[in-house]
Amino acid sequence: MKNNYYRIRKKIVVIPIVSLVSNYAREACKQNKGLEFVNISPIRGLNNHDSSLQKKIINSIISHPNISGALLVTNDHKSSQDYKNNIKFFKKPVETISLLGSKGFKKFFINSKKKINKIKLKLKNNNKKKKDFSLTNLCVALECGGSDQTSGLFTNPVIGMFVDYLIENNATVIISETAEFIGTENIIKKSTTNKIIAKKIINRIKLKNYLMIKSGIDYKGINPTEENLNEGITTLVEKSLGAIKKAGKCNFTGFLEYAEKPKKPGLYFMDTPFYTPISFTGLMGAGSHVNLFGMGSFNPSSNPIVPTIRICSNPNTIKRWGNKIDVDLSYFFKKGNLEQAYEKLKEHFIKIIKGKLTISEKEKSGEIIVPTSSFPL
Amino acid sequence: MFVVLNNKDNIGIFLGRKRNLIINNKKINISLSTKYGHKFALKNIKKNQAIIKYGEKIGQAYKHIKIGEHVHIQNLK
Repeated sequence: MKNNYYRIRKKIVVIPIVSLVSNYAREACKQNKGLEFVNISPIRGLNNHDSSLQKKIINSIISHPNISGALLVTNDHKSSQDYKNNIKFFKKPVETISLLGSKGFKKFFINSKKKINKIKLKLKNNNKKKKDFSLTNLCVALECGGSDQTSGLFTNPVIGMFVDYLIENNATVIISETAEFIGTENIIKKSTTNKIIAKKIINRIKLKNYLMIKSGIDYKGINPTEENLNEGITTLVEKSLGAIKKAGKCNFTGFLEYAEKPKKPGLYFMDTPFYTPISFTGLMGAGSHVNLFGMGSFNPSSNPIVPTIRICSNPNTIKRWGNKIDVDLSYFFKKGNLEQAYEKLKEHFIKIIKGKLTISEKEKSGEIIVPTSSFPL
Repeated sequence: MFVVLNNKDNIGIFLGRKRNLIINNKKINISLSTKYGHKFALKNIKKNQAIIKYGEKIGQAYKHIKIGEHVHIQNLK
């Protein structure tokens, strides 16, 4: 996809391909300047589906538009060779190193340094012209956290206005967390022109609802979460009706499986679990450049590769957690001024795209969690 | 302060301070248990009646709810 060539960040990362080597990979990362360590704690013994998802997520990190180069750390020599054979597909400087193949720690760290320098040199000599900023090449992911009344009332409608603007300008936008669409089936049916897509989304929402009921678990306190309940959200449908405001006009172009990449611009629905870090991981897998994260009560989640813009309108949350929020809309919320809130969000968004760091980036926080469907062998 | 999101709604959202309100020519006393951002009944709601927010059904009353009363887990599911 086009957006693979448009970068809003130029991260060079060290990625352990199997968690056995995590500590030494982290150490190799620390010994070199300007690198970031990305750990998804990959394990062995997963069933087929889980194993291919794990691999898919690792590959999505390497190929992610915010990553300009990567050192992959394996344990054995053979997996290192396997990756080496596929490096050309990433079309960026990627090197591999195996711990055991290095025959001792001293050599491992020396060789790591050599490979990292090689990546840096390749990037330095890369004369490819930087693409001009254009919304058409941009993929934006939407999330909400700690939903409360201000979310459905103000924050999400403001994000929705911005999403309409992005869609009009040919950007790609992905919304996720299937469980938080339960109760919005009629809205999707009415607003989505492509009836096949609408049906696909609605069927997946129905399936999620069925699975939640069938599990026999009372999800009250889990979803809606304790935070939602404290803030006055009572039912999951009530939460959903607030959450869907993020989608603006809500005319879906496509449906994506977990971590699937969109093929052309438009508004997409991705089927993801409702736990925020897992949902963020799926959105990252799709190659989203940036997350718009609307929150009511504070939610500390973020992603280490995809800059996460925290947006909040709740004056109480701002009072307590204001220094951890990127876009404070509480002033405009009190005035009931959607238009100015939208302008503020847009202005901040452009700054982040052009390189200003988000709060979670400054803190180097964020997690990548790959969901599994069964107990490993 | 309060807000009603859709004219089909039978609940409003309390946004602090004044609890004695006049909404659609009706006097409403918002119960003290209704915290900031929580819902209150705009009219008397019978048991099993739908609770409407954003113009859509968000659940059902499992108790009678009086006008001005806090609407949450103790009477809505």
